[in-house]
Amino acid sequence: MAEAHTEVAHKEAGLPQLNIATFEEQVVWLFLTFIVLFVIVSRMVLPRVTKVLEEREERIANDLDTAERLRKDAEDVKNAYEEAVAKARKQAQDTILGAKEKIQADIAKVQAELDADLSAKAAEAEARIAKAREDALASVGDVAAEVAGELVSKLAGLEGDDAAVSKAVKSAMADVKGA
Amino acid sequence: MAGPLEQFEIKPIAEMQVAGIDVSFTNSSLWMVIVVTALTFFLVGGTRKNALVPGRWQAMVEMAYEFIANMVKENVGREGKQYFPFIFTLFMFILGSNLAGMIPYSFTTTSHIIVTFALAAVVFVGVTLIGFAKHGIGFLKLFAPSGVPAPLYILIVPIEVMSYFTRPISLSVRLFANMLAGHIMMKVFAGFIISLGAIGFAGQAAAVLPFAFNIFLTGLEILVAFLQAYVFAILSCIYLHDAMHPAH
Repeated sequence: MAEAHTEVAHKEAGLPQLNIATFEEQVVWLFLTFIVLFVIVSRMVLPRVTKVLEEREERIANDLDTAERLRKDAEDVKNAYEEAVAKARKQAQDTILGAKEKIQADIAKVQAELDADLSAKAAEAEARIAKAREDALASVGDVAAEVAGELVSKLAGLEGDDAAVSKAVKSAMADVKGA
Repeated sequence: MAGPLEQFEIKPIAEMQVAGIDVSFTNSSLWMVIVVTALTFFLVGGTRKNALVPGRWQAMVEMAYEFIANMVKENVGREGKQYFPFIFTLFMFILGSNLAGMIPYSFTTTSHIIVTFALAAVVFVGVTLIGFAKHGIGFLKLFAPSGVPAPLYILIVPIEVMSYFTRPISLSVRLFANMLAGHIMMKVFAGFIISLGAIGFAGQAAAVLPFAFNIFLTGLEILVAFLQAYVFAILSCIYLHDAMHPAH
């Protein structure tokens, strides 16, 4: 039947598209091939593409997360480093300052000790000098009396009384001191 | 020489009948099988490795995927996701058939009104069924847009009903007519080249013009092949959107 229709139609003029006899098989094969393609596309192709696109998106998001995390880590490390440097600097300054103070204190102490020592020695020396002068002054009277006795005996030929001479010298010296 | 309409002849390869239905394998069936085989090779081959960083082939498949996925998302909305495989198949099938028709001596299955009408009818019946399944009788609100003065409904409702029922016709005729006209034009100008070539040197020199025009037409037809597949798919999306949101 269909065969006969087709053959008749082929001889007719006009659009082959309007040959109703060919409609049946075209529709049948259209649906057959379309359904095959639909099954392949929906069961195989699209799930695969969906999967790979999702994986890619996930991977990119993960990578961005990791990058962000690492950046934060790096920032933390940098902050910690800067903090440590600042702390160390401060510590160094403190140490320097402390050392300076200690040294100054030591210097002051040593100087004070030295000053004390020196002034003690100076006082002692002064005391010794004063004593020596006093001793010298004390012995001046004896020497003067001796000299005067010698003078009297040599010049006047008198055997003078030693006690009277030393008495006269003492009174003369007292006059000098008093003057 | 063959006439410009001969390229559309259906030529049986093997006559067959199953349960009284004509299932003869013809040049049309052959090219449907070739197109589906080629598309399967393209789509399955491109996703075979499924690499995280796609190669050229995989990038092409992904591009097709994202193109249709975006089309469905923008025109149907989020809930249109379940119809994505159908729209994708529809687009790829029409595009493949249109492009296969550009191969010399091939057969353009989409240049037959019954093929495009069958596809359009599937979309139309599908959209109508989805509309009623989702909204019940409320789907009829599609024919009575809100915000219109009541008396105007007498005019608008019949117009809306008519425009709804002409959808499968406009959808199928658009694709069919584009393919038909393009292929006839190419054949006619190719005929000019042969005819001019047969009438001596002057004719052969003049044949350069239809030849150049045919080169231009070939480019144009490849553009039309993409464009009509796109139009068919996007209109199907818009009709699906109507089924989802009839009150709009």
